[in-house]
Amino acid sequence: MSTREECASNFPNDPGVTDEVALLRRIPPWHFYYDKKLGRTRPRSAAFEDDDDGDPMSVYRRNIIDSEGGDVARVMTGHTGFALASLNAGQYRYKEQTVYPDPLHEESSHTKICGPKPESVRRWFATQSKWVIPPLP
Amino acid sequence: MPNTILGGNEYGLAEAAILSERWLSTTTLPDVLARPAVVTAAVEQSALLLRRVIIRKRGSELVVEVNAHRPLSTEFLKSIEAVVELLNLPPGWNSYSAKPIGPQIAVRAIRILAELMEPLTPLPAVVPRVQGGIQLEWHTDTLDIEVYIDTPDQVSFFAEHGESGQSVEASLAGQEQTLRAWVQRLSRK
Repeated sequence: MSTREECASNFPNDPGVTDEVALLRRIPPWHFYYDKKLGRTRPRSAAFEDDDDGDPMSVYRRNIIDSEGGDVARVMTGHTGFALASLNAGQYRYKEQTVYPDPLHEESSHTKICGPKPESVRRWFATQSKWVIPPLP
Repeated sequence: MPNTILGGNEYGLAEAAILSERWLSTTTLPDVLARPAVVTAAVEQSALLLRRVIIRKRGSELVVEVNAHRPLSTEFLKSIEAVVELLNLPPGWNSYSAKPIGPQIAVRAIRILAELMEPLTPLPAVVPRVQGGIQLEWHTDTLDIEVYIDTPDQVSFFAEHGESGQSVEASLAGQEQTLRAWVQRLSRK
C-alpha cells in the first residue's frame, strides 16, 4: 500500500485535473454484483485495489478521450464481459488520493490514483461509483 | 481448466504435483484451529474441522482433497468449487496487473469457510483480489459481511447490519467468534 508521502513524491497530485473530471476504471465480471439495498448492480470493493506490482490503481480520464474525439469504448477493447465505472477526481481526492496523469503510448488518458486504500475506502469507492458502461444483464 | 473435488484417499501423485501444504500442523495455522485456547465449547461442537486440505495438479485438472471429521455439506462443496475456480485465473485477470490466486490462499479460504458455514448458511460470493488474495462476501437485505484473505496469516473482515447501523471491522486473529456470530445471523434469516 502506498503511503501519502510516497504518493506525493512519486505520483504527485495534478491540480490541472479538476475535481469534476470523470475517471474511468474497467471492472472485471468477478467484481460486480446486484446490491439489493442500492437496487442496482455495483462494483465490489475488490475492484478498487492497487496493482500487485506496487503501482497505484489505473484509471482513464474521460475528458482526454472526449477531447481527442474518441469514445470511452476504446478502453474496453479486448475485454469482453467487463464493465466501466466512473468516479470523479474530487471523489478520489476526498479520500486522500492523488490524481497523477500517466499517459501511455497506447492510451493517452491513462492516470494513476495513489494513496492508502484500506477496505473502508475501497467500499466507499465501490458504492459511490457510477456506470459508464454497465455490466451486461 | 476443469476442476475436480475429491475427498479422503491418496492418489500416489508425486510430491511436486501438490500445490498446497501436505499436512497442516497447528503450528502453521494462524486461525481458530491453531489456537485451541481461544476455541469455545460452542465453536468446537459446531464448526466443521478439516483434518487436511490438499490441492494437487493432475494433468490439466486441479484436485482438492479434503479430509474432515464429518460429511461435507453440498453448500460447502459448492463454495470449495468456487474457491478452486479462482486458481485458474491468469496473471492480469482484471485487465491490469492482477496477480494469480495462490493455492495457499485457496486452502486458507476453504478452512475459513469450514469454520463459518453451517447447513443453512447461504453460499458466499468468492471473489479474487488484485494482489492474489480471496474475498468472501455475503450480502442480504440487512446484512453485509466481507472477509478479506490477503495471505494465510493476514485475514480481516467487515460486517454491518443495515437497519441497526451496527458494524465491526477487525483482523480475524482473536475475533473468530465475532465473525462466526455474524455469519450465524445469516443462517437464522
